[in-house]
Amino acid sequence: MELYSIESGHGKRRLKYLHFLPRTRGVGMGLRFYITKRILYAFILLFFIIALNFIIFRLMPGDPIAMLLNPFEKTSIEDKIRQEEELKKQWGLNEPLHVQFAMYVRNLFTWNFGKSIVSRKPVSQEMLYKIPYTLTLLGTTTILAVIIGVLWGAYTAQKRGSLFDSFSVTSSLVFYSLPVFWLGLVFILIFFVNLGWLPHAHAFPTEWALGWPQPYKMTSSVSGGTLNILVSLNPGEILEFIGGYVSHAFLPILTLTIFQYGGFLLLTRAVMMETLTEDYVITARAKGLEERTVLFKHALKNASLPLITSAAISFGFILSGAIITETVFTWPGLGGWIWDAINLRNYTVLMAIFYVIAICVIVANLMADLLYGIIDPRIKYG
Amino acid sequence: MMKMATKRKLPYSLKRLFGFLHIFLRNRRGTLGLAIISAFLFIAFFSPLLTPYDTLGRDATDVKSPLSATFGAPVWLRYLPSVLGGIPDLSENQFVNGTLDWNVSASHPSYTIYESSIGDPQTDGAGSLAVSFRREKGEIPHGEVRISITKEFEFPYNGFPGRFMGDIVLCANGTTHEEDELYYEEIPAKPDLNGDGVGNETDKKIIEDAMGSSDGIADLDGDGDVTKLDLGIWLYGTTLAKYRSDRHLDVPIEVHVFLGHVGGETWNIYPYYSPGRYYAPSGFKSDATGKVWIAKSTQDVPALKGWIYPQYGESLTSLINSELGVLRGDRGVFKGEDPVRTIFTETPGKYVWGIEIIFVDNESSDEIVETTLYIDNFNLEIHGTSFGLLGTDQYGRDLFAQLVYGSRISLYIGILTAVLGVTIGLVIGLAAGYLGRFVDEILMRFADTLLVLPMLPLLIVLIYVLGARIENLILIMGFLGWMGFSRLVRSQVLSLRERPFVEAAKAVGSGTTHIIRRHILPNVMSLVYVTLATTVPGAITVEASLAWLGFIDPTRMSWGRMLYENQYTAAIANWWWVIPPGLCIAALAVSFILLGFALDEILNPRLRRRR
Repeated sequence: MELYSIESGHGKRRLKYLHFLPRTRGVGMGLRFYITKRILYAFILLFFIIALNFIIFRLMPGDPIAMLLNPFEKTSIEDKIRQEEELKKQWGLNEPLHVQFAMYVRNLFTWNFGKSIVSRKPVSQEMLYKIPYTLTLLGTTTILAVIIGVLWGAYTAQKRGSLFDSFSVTSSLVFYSLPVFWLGLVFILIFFVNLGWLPHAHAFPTEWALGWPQPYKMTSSVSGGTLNILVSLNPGEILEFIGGYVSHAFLPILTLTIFQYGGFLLLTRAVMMETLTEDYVITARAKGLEERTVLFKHALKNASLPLITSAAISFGFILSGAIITETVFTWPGLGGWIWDAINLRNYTVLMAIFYVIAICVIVANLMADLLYGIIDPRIKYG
Repeated sequence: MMKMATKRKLPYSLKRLFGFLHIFLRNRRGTLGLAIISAFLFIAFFSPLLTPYDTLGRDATDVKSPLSATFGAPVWLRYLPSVLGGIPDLSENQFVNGTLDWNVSASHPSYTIYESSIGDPQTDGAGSLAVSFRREKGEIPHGEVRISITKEFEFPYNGFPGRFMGDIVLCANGTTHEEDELYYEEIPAKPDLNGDGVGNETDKKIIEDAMGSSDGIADLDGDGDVTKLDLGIWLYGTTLAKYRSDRHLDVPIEVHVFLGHVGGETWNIYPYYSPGRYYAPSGFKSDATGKVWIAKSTQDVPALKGWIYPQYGESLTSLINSELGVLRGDRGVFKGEDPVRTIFTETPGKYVWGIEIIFVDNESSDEIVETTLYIDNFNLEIHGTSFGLLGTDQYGRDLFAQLVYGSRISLYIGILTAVLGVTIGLVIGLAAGYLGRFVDEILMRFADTLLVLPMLPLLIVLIYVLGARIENLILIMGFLGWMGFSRLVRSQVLSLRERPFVEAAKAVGSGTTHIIRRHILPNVMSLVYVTLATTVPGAITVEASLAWLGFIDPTRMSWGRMLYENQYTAAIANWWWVIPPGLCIAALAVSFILLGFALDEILNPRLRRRR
């Protein structure tokens, strides 16, 4: 696992040529300077990514105007050319590149991603439908993986050198390096094909209406929000409703959790092994504190800095992290959408998803940096 | 001088290597990783010795000539008890071949059989013979002379075979005469009449102008009169039956290939040629749908379609294939049914397979008439529902061979990607760390930008743009995988450059290149070795994931592609196809990680002290 730390000795040298930034004095000002700089970097990064996004999709094969024209329409060649010109004008494709780029940036900031080439619906609207699924899946998974990884890792560090330790480390190494789609396939093979206990695709039973989250029984009779529907159901229906979602989400969550916890376990173990040899831990033990108190209240608290950073960063990858798992389980989230969009050359969708993912990652990285700066008093702001 | 130095150096470095190995082998996890990697290296180097089969077909160019039935199970599942998941009603491959012990029966003695069996029947498809019919001068025609060449064999399995096929080659030669024959001429829609290369309005006008006359060009249907019918033919195209004079054999031949139970019903097997793709050679008759009929008798099917009039040098191959064939038996034609399930039974039984050759000697002639039919590859391949150690895929290709050869691709991708990524990361890290200032700032900001990008979607888009060749994948992954390592190297170099030995080197006047090469680089090499080992698994897994998503290199079969083809053909229930490739990917990836961790523990003494 990559440990995103802020290297010491960074700031002093930089200050020499970053004189255009506000010079600061004193500790409090140092923090402000640090935050300003990080935010500035985040914006520069965002600009780079927008530019890259703009360039890459102009390199991809296919002509968007050709996709909008009807090839079976019987018109003369002159008419076709005129039609093409009109479309180009309509979409702004006849402008020079830098104007196109400016238009693109303006649209991104107004959250206007255009229409999906396939469904002809606004991309932002479709995205709002997909995001809850990905957030549910990846949010649950990341929280589970962090909890399991950190707790297990702390115990492992305490019992280092034992059989439990080597078992934990080896198993998390194995799960960490497995191809995640294969893990999913094996679970489908076991739980769907052989045992028939769990479904293998979609987020809810296919009989249900295509709404989120509305079971088919209630769609016609009750109008209003999700909560109203849930409240008006009888207990049996509530159970069925929850069971439908849980049974569909179980295998993807299991797969992703098994895939992700190993990284947190190894990181926690490494950090804890250093912390547990510190003098204050020995002091705490000498005071006669319970081993659990020593481990979680004294050691883990102090070792939690890199863990928080790492968790923050994995929350940043929450939207992009599950293309493969979502494809395996036909999960209707963003990852599966990326895959569909690539297959169908749905460029508007791809560009929008890339942009949103990049923002997510940049914000998470910024948060991690800021958290690090605020929590750790030892840091040199650089 | 130089020579002496190397002479002394070699034993020294060998000693160092053995010393390192001694320490390394004390690390159990590292040893396990090294053992697994060595095993895979061995498999990759000696794959041709481990399996005789090719991953993409019987030979690399031919996907359509597989080894066994499609979706075959492993052979050992037959012998496993059902409780443990065994499938007792599987069958295995059986080849019925050879030429020596055929039963020959004939209705008239005026024939000769020449037999030869050259080469290995298993591989060359030997089993060749020539049957010759001859009527001397002055003899009256013999009518139909039937010669049947059969072979009985036992199919000893408690289950249906997967399919059967035979690449029988027929070729005829003999005395000939001129005869009118019917042939079909296809006129395309809007043909070009005036020779300007395109069929357009001017061609239509030619017909309209010639209406009522007997213009040769405009008379498309050849009835000697240009009418509205010709205009219709020009517009929509048609298939016309026409007569032409052609040379035919004096004694035509009719051939049946048949298969059936001994003492039970036998079935004639007709090959099926899909129209537009495979045409029978011109010596053989095919009807408008492209079917080649080799009929039972002249009454069975219309005479002109039922006869074969092979001419010299032309041959008909691929005579039977249970997946493409049509059956004709005493109860009529069976088209929709699987020929295998119609002919074979689920219990062991004796079957007869053979060929019936009918010389139809009706033409009265005073001359000597003679016809010879050459038959080659007269073998029957029955493909069982099980094959090899791991079964077969959707084309009947051996999965074990794919697994064995897949190790080459995974190692190739993993190692090359790691070398490329680590080299780039090393150069950038050294430059950023040692040169500092603007170089550092620019390179590290660039690295940050790349680190923020969602890697897998970006990879997919780039692969989509550049094409899914494995070399492209290696380049892309190498150029996108250096950032973490360059940061690591940079932070190490930052502390190294402040050390006294660098200062001392500077004091004696060493240049930047010299200091980096002789003083900094050796100190970061331990990081290089560790990162080389820990980068490999990512590359292997990413390749597998991309292949599974469908970005496959069509010329090579990798583990990821095996899983993709399984998914693609919806054969996930064939666990012997799903489990092994994934296990291999996991084993190889984990072993490299174990190796990297072990190297890290040994080369970075900080960790060792902590233990």
